[in-house]
Formats: sequence, structure tokens, C-alpha cells
Amino acid sequence: MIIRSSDEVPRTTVLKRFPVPKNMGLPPQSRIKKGKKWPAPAAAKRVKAFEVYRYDPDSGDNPRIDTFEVDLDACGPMVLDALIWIKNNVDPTLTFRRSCREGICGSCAMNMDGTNWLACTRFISDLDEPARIYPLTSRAIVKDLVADLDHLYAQYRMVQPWLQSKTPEPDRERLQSPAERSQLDGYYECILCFCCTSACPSHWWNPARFLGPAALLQAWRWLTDSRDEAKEERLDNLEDPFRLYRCHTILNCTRTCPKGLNPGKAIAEIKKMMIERQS
Amino acid sequence: MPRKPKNPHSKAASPTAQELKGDIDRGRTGDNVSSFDPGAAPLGTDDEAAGRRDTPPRFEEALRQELETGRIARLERPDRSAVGPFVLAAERGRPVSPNIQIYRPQLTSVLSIANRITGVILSIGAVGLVAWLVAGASGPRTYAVARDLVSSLPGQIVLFAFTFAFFLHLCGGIRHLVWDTVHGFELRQIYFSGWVSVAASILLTLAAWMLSMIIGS
Repeated sequence: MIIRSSDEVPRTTVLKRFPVPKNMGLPPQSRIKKGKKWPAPAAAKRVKAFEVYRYDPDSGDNPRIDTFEVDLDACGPMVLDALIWIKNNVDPTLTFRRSCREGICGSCAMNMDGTNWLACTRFISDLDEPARIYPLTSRAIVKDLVADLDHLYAQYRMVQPWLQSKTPEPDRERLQSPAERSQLDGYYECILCFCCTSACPSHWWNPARFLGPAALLQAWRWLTDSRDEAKEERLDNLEDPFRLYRCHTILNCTRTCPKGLNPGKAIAEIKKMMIERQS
Repeated sequence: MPRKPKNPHSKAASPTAQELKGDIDRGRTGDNVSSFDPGAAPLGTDDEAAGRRDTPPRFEEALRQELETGRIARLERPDRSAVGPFVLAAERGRPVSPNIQIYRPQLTSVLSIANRITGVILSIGAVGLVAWLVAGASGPRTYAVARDLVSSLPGQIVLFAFTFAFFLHLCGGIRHLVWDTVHGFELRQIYFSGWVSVAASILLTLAAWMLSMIIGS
């Protein structure tokens, strides 16, 4: 009932998904069709089914859901291990991003059993039978589980995520007290996997105009940096009916962050700073 | 340069919040698919509720920004920040992955939707309240009809639902008020306050009905 940290997987679920048609509101070429079934090797003893979103840009076909049966005794414990096992042993065309396999690069962010997380830090044993693997929600899809993140990077660029100073360059490093440095804790750790922005209903409805939790967390990371001297300009840039204020504190972002960060709190801090500067 | 709203039926010199919403929903501003945009629903109404009604120049500015967004999408400027995945997907011939269709309902999102829905229900309920007052002002015979309607079984069920919607919306509102002061953002606090507001609205609904029954009898 009470979730204490974002890595907790709910034990009981009333609804696995909202009671809406499966292809509701999707453009015709995005509607999902039925796909192939790839059975497990005959010798496999412990078998788990994975329903995986597939899209092949070269075929011109719509996305489809393929079912792969994975031999759990032959692959590692994480969802990423299962995907690699499928790619190595069943279908080499299965496409996904991965790099560090330890939750620090953010490449393998995807939607597993309805929530966004990193495939390398989600246990297979935490998933339903069959497990449902989709790309990050509400993204343009390049191929299979690879999402087009250009738009999100552009939004990240919009918050100008670099140190801006007006005073002359000092001869040495710009110093911070331990207290000032601790203001960045919980924000600098963001790996830009975009699990949060892709999980945000406000961003689903206003992807073009609302910056989304990932970019706004970064905006706060610079607003709260004692060395940064462009606070007013940064706030001016966010003073907009959509860029900041389309956040309705739904907090799907904080629930889903694979690094346990708190984008919802960062956005609330920005809103508070905005009010404080008006008074 | 502020431009007139694209709505062909508009006679106003400056766009109103309603017209801006309409333009967004119909895809006239060019940056999104043509469908109802729930995110645009509080446009204008939020400020009105806060007692700071927006002025026509502000809506002109908002419309200008909307059109600008659409223009960027069409011209493929290097700054892609205002384009959005739908345009991106259409331009590059790509599908869009599902969102609401597959995302797991969680206390966070469910209570947020519940707050919206109860808000809509309460708006309808306010009309009902006015109708009841009008009936009362129109004389004893009209009032008797209204009273019979409210005290019938379906009327009582609707009234009970309204009471619950009222308390859930109230508790949700208090929860948001606390959040606006940047308190209670730890995940366990988010879940705790969520379940507390659900439990409190059930208890308050029952208490309100028991109280009204005691007073009534």
C-alpha cells in the first residue's frame, strides 16, 4: 500500500492498465497488431513468456507484439539479460539500447509491466507472467525498443544546463561550502534516461509545450547552484503557462525514477522560487 | 505581431481562453494531433479561480506562441524543443509508442485523475444546488417537487456520491496546498497522504450523512 522507494514493485494490483481501448487515440500507423510467437527451446525447464513491442521501420508494417519464451536457466536475472538472451538465441533483429548494465548510463530505459525503469536493474522475477516489454511511453519509435529522444534532448537544451556567470573569471575554482554543495544532492545524479518525462501524463498531453520532469529537474539543479548567476534569466525562461505550470503534481515522475530522485519536488521548488521572486 | 485566432467563426478582435482552447483541440495551432487536449482544460479557469483573470493581450501572446510552435514544426528549425513527439514521428514516418493505454495505474496518477473528475462532478453539482435554491424561491409547490426528487432513492444515491466527491476533492486540494509549500514529497509521504485523503473522505462522507440523519430525525 505505502511505497517507500521508487524501486518497490507493487505486490498487489487492482488494475494492470487503465480501462481504455488498447489503441485509443493512436495515429493509424502507430496502432499495435498481433505478432509472432517464438517458442522456448525444447530442453528448457523454467520458461517465462515476454511480450515485446516490435517495430521494423524497413517493412512499413505497423508495430506488433511478439511473444518470446525465455529459458530462465540459460540467462541472467535481469530483464536486460533476457533481452540479450533473445537477441543471441532467438531473434537477432530485436533492437534495444544498452551499455553499462549497472544503472548508470540510462540507455536501457523502457516500459516493463506498465512502468518505466531501467531493464538492467529490474529483476525478471518481479515481472508478471507474461511480462510486457514496451519502449518508453509516448515516444516516436526508431525501431523495436529504441525511442527517438531528440525532442527530449532539445527540451533539456532549453533549460541551458550549464554554469552561467556574470562576475569575472576567478583565478581558481569557484568554491562552494559543504552546505551549498549539498543543495545539489538528489539532483546532480540524474542520468537523463527520461523514465520520468515519459511517465508524466501532463507531458503526454502537452509534449510540445511542457518541458517535463527531467528537464525541469535539471533546471532546478542550476537554479539551486550557489555558483550560478543567471537565476533571474532562468526563471524568466520558465515563466510560461506551459513550460513549468503544466506540472499538476501528479508525481508519476517521483514514483518511477530509477535513481530514486525527486523531480516532483524539484518542480515544486521552482514554483516556490517563482512566487518568492514576485513578492 | 499578434495574429487573429484561426477560428473562422470568431468575431472577437482578440482571442478568448475558450477560442484558444478550441484552436488547440482542433489542431489549428499545428503542433499536435487534432483531439481533445485535457492539458488545455484549465486554461483561463485556473487564473479565474485565483482571482487573476487573464487579459486579451495575454491570450494574444499565448496564441502567438501556439502558432509559433506550429510554424517551427513546419519549417523544421534546428531548435526541436517545441515540436513534440507526434510531429517528430509524423515527419520521420515513425509510430508513437502508447502511453495511457499501457501505463500502470498508480495511486499518484489515479488520485490526480480523481481530483479532476470530482472537480467536474462538483461543477455539475453546483448547478444542481442552484436549481434547488431556485425551486425553493419559486414557492412551496415547486420546492415540494425538488424535495421529493432529492429524497427519492436515486436522488439520495446521487447526493451521497456528491458528498464523497466533495470530500475527496477537498482532501485532494489540501494535499496539493501542502505540496505547494514544498512539503511531503518523500515517496512514502506521497503514498501516506494519498491513502489518508481516501480514508478521510470516506469517513467524512459517512460522518456527514450520520450527522444529517441525526439532525433530520
